[in-house]
Amino acid sequence: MATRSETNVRIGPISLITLVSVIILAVLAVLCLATTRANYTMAERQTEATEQAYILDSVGQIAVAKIDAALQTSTTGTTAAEQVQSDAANLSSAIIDEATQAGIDTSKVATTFEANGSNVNLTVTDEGRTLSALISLHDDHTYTIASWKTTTDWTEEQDTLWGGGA
Amino acid sequence: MAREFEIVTPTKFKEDRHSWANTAFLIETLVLLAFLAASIAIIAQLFAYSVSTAKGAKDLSNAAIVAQNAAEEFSSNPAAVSAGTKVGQGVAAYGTENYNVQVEISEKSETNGTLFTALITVTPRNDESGKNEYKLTTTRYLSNGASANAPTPEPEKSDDEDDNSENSEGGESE
Repeated sequence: MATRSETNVRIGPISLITLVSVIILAVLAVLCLATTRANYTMAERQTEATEQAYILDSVGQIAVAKIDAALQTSTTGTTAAEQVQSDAANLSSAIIDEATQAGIDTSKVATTFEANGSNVNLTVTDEGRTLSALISLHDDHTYTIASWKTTTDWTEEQDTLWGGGA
Repeated sequence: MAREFEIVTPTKFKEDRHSWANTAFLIETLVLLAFLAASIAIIAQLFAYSVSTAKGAKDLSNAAIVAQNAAEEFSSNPAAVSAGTKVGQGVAAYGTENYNVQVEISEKSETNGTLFTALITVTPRNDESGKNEYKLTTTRYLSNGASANAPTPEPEKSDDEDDNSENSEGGESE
């Protein structure tokens, strides 16, 4: 019995310490790699979000230019707003064309115009983000940007909470 | 045929056993050393890749911030930037130095104003591969009208327009 046990390969303390060290190092390396990959993905998302915000902003600026042009040919702000709304389809395609010429990715951009008295509600959407602007048109052929908001659409379904009933 | 037998004395047996143990220890150490070297070679590569990825993430994130700051500077005064005023220089104090900012401006005349478009390119100075180069395109319209030139993402309120803008921020419901 004693002879048999001496011939077996036994793991010494040095081997054990080395194995444990290597395993710990490997786990740490994998965790480090996963963290940095996640950071890089977050950085890419940040850059995409920034680009998207500026795409919306740029298309909005071009739309303002078109609205300003319509305002110059109208007698009052109200007629200009109505003209913008009635010519919305042509205006939208002209805006998209001009934005594309300026090097802006407008593949998923859509614009809408809605006249409300002498105001125009401009909406620009692009993949879950929306620019909502309210432009007031004045009779002296000037305009004012009353609001200019970029929002992100909520895509997750909301859970129905318990209302307290039986 | 007479066979010769070696007589193993207790002293001789102890010496042999000690020698075998030394040899086994040496072999074990050598095997461990080889295993350790191979493991460290692989793990070091993983750590090096992690460091490279982390640096890339930091470069990309900072490049986006620098580009955004440059875009806002451009939006505040596109005519001046078009005339040659540099943008993206003022952000160096916030820890985002070591980035090259290039701005290409194009102008287009509209019916009642000018449309300025800026292509902002931010490149980390130590990024030889160009992988973390960041480009941002932004546009700003300047009207010839007297009171029109205020469309910015976050408009600043002037003293005269404080009341009007606060009332109109929520939009009109009619």
